[in-house]
Amino acid sequence: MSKTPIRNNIRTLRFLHDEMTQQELADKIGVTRQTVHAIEAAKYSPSLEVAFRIAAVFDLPLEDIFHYEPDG
Amino acid sequence: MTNQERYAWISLVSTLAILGLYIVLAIGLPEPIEDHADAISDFFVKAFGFALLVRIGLAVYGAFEKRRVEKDERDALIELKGYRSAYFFVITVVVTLAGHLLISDFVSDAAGARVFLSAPFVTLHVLVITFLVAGVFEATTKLFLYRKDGLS
Repeated sequence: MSKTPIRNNIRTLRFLHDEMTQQELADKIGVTRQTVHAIEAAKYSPSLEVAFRIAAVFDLPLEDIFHYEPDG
Repeated sequence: MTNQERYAWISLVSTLAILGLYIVLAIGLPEPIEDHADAISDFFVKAFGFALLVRIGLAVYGAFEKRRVEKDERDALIELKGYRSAYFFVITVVVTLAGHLLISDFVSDAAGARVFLSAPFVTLHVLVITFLVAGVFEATTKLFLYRKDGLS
């Protein structure tokens, strides 16, 4: 899976939320830790449902977490 | 490494073991290693048994450890890509075999007699081996996609 044009700042947000681990976030949104890693590394674009679950965990709107960077 | 990736490894080992066993028992080995057929088939049986035991062990372990997510949307996507590569392989072989049958038929018509370019049972072997190799394609595609992310 090559890099997707959808970037995110989940790693920073995890750090700001009591240094939440990838496993803790994965358990909260119902995916595996490997999927959280792939999303953070922009190697996998999550479904809308998972994106909304991530937004709910950090209590932020989607656009504050995910950014579309087609040329990045 | 997720359980789904472990299952892909088990699938690869067990399919290779069945494929190897089929080749040894149904087709036979080339002359230089023909004498070792028993030892080789014994190895494939043990490999299959080992894969089966590990699979059962993982299933039992998974039943007791229900806290974590077993399979998610990314696993489903990788699984679909595995099936797709297996499908492309199977369809390529089936189309090639169909073409081969058509050519056989055409040659038979031209010759005025029934002519087979290969024995019918060879076609059966090709089909069985194709389905087993398709399983190998599926497992390796999944493992490639899991490993490509570089996290175990």
